[in-house]
Amino acid sequence: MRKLFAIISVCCIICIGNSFVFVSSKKPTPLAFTIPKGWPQPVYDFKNNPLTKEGFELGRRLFYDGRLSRDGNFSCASCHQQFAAFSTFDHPLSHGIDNSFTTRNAPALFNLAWQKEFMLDGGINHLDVQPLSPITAPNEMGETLENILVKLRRDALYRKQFVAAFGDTTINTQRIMKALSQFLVMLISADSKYDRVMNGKASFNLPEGLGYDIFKQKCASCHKEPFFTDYTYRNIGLNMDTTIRDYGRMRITRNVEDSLKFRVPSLRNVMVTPPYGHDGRFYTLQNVFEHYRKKTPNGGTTDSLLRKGIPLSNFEIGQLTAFLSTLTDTTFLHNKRFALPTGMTLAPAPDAEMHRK
Amino acid sequence: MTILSLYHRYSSHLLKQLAAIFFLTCVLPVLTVAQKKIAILFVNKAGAETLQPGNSYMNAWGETFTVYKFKYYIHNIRFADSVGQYVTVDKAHHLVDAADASSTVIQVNGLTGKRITSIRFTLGVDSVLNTTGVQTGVLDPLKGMFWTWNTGYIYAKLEGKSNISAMPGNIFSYDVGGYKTGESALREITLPVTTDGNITIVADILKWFDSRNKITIATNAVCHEPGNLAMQLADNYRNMFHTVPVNE
Repeated sequence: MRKLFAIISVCCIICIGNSFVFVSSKKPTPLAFTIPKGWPQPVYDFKNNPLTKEGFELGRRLFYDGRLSRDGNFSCASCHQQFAAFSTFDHPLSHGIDNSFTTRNAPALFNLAWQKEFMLDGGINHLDVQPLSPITAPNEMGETLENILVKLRRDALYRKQFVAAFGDTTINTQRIMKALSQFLVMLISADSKYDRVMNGKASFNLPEGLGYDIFKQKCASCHKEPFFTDYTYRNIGLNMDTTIRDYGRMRITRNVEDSLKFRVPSLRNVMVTPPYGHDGRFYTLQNVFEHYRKKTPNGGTTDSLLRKGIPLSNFEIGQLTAFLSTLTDTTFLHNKRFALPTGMTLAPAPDAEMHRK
Repeated sequence: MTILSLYHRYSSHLLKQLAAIFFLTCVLPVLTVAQKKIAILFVNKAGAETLQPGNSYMNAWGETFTVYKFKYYIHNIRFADSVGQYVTVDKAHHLVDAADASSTVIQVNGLTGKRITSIRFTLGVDSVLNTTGVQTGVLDPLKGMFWTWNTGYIYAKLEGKSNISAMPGNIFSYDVGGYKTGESALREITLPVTTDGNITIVADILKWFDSRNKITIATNAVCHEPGNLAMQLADNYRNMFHTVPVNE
């Protein structure tokens, strides 16, 4: 009888407790983060945000949800499309809310767990705080964090997903951003033909192999393997677009030495990420090669490696193009785990009528 | 077995449980908290006047301005007794907001059996918290004290309008922060304490314009990033505090 009393007491306490906060009894399922062969340790701090299947799925849903923008039309995925390696297909500058333009070409998203600084000017110092910028920027998603919390807390499925991922019903900025990071760090692109060649599972054909040799000689000092960027900021000798007036890295460091410098972009998946350049001024790779083989303006902050231009013959450009094609990672581009979750629809493309409202 | 007989059988057990609950919730806390609680009250002023968001004031350079927002983070509150050793009594971050009375009072433990002669605290946000992702509570970026494009907290903010400002909408806006070497806007503040009980600290916004550096709205109406101007404003707001002596 005494036992029965104890059991009833315990049950009562649990019931009372549960009426205040719904606590998940199920632990989330850990998600493995596999470092590709030969790659260094990632810089992302997984101890502070352990990867779980539930956290990843929550992040994936947030990434594709237009409700993170003020009018419901702009999800992260509007400007970061999977088939374009999570860059914006065919747009020099992305389109933001209220018929606005962004000032830079949307970068492709992959291998972010190895990246220390974000944005082309490196102004953001942690992956978890990066999404705050596009979400709140008036020319991108234009929403406030308060409104997003209201929208998510109202949604029964989100409430369930936050419990599954983090153990209780709390929905706050930190958890939203941690979930997004869990999705973003899993976007690993390491299965291109180049990678399979490096792992001894495939071999380059003649033009690809010749292109790789030219690449190592003329491009690799900035586009360093295996990430195909050294993550530095450089001025490649582009004149400033006076309609945008973007000084790049200088805006962050306030150092004139950094004027017109932008982060070296990765060349992985480069074939599916046109247009090129920080403001998308190059429509094709041919435009980019033409720029590099021209003598760039001497002086200013133009990179010393580029002042004389990079000598590139038409023949070499052909071989380089063949090599760069081996960096396309179709496994990554078609991976269903990164696609729009089932049951969700992409936010409708905003039309002129919508903007007039 | 009736309910009544059940009650008789287990009533002594029930009473013991109730007594235990009473002891744990009511008696124990009183026994353990022998330390005196002290309230630190921040009173925001513009010179001699109490600061009221929406009201207008004049700085030392004759510039009239209306204040809309005045907020600042403080953390790591320490007390010293007459020996001069500082003891941390509250490490947490607090956001003092002139528009929110509940944010202006901080409860801390006093020094057991000793008289407090000095208070020290840090204005700003610990540098580690500027570089380790999204924080919660008063440090949640939705508090509007966070730069999203150039990561870092705004440590202190004074915003409003002034006809002297040539900025759009005549705004003047001082958002001060910076955690990197050479541009840290963190400032440590040490003040004397002459009272026995609660401590009242006055923060005078007029010092933002006139202390170590001369800041005029005409020349500098906007500070929206770390750097030189932020450092000058930080050197000024470092001196905006004073404690109120017992008789005032």
